[in-house]
Amino acid sequence: VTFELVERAQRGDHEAFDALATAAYHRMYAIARRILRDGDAAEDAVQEALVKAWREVRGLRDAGAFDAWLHRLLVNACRDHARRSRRRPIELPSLSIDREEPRDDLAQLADRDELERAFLELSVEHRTVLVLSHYVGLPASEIGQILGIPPGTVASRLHYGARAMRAALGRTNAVPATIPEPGR
Amino acid sequence: MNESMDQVLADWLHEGPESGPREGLERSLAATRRIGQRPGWTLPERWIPMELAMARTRVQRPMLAIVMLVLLTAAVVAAALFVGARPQQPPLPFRNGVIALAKDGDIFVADRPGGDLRPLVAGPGNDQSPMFSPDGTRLAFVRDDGQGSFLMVADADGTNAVQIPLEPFLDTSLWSFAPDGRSLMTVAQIDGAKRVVIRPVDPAAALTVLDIRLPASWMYIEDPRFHPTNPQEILVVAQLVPDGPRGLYVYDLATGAIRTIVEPADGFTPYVDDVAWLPDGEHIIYSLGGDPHVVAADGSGDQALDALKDRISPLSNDGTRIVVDVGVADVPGDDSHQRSVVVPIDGEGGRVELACGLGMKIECAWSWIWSPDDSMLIGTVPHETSSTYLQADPDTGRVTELDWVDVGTPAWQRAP
Repeated sequence: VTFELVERAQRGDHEAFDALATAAYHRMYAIARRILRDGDAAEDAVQEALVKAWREVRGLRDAGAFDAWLHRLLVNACRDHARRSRRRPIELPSLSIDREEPRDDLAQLADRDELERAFLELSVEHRTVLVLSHYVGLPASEIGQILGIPPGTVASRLHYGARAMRAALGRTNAVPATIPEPGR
Repeated sequence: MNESMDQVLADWLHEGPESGPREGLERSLAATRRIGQRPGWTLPERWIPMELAMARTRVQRPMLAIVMLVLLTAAVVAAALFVGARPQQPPLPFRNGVIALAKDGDIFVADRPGGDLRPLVAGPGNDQSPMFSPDGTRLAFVRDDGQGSFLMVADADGTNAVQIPLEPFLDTSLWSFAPDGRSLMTVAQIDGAKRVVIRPVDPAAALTVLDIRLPASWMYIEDPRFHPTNPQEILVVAQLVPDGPRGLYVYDLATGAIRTIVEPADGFTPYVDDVAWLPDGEHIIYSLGGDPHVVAADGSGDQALDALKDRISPLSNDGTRIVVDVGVADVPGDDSHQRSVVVPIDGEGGRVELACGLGMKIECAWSWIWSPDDSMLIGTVPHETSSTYLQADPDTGRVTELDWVDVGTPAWQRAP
């Protein structure tokens, strides 16, 4: 069904595209909401991705790749949104990364606010990989396909993303891997 | 420990809303109805095979060839007269070298934009992201061997490649070359603090860790930058006093002296980012809260440069021009409503509009690089399934499509 809808959308059938967008919308919102940590921003990113999908759908050579392509548009929109937001002078409460070792296990330690702050300290690229892996449940190969990066880079981003979270939560002083992209 | 962290992350990420607001969906659908689809004729790979779409057919037509030759001769004469009548540009310090590209897991070079690709590095694994050192003598690239990515540095001809130990580097993309290509600089976390680290390319040489306090949060870390000609000076965003302002400073590697370039007032402190030296080494550009500025290297003469907003290229090599996007998208996400324009960085003088974008046959690039002699631009146009490339003349605005497909981000060597 999806295949047919994509082909119809490629021929300019807006109702077919509406059906595709409606089917994907809530999942896209949930992913964007988790990457950007903000409902309004997520809504904007999803809208940007869907507008671009409609505009560019004729360029999609393999209709069967529609879902992966839509994911790619969405994470690109999230990345762009995060970079635009970075232009605004915002200040997050700083985290002490040298605090004493917590005595309980990590699940007890990691209250939501700290996780939120630690997660927001990651670059949007690392956040995206963590969300696609731990929330969507995609394997590294598919994440690499969506992001246009090799699976090895996905693996290293997952590895360093987790280490950065642990460091920010005070479990260890290990090297985190994430510097926000400096807009190069 | 990793499994535990992964589980905490997975549980936490599964909290929260699984669906968006209904009105959000309606707004999105309404937005798509306000725009048209990109015309099919701009997507030749969609309706004819890529090989045919990208290939240029040679047709044997003697009369046409003669006419073309006459027209070409006339054009050359006219161009020579035009160029001769223009004021002479000051000579640039750089000449064009080869262009490095990544394709099918190997590194290639071409002598000119769109030119034939010659293999340069064809090692095991997937090689990508080539970058030349500022003096053109070294080439860095990222190698993925299936287990992970790591950084390689070779001579510019592809020989003598060495693997750079990743520790304490954080990522294979977050570093910069020294002017002579003999060392790399990055920011690492050491003993709980962020530190500027310089790693010689020679694996046997020792790391240098600089004694300068950086912001505590990765969110405010900027890549430090070597002075373009003086390897003893680096430009760095630092926070010299805990909870103090995050400013822009020049650090002298020989003496440890710190020179203040910009130090915003304490309290409300906007971002200092996008920092770079101008090629003359006498000026610095940076953004403060998103507003671009230029300042002399001694910290004097700071001025805002509105012309640099929305820039999509690095500075030209003579430090006078940049490509920016102008125009406002009236529909979020519809980036067709824009034009790329070459502007003088001080906003004075003429602007050259590139012949691509809205209303043009050629879609504009998302990013551009300058040739070392500043006579050409190469643009990358990412599509969802491939990337294509453009060549632009920054003096006339003429844009042509290149025959390259999916060659990554090109890196243009300054001829040593």
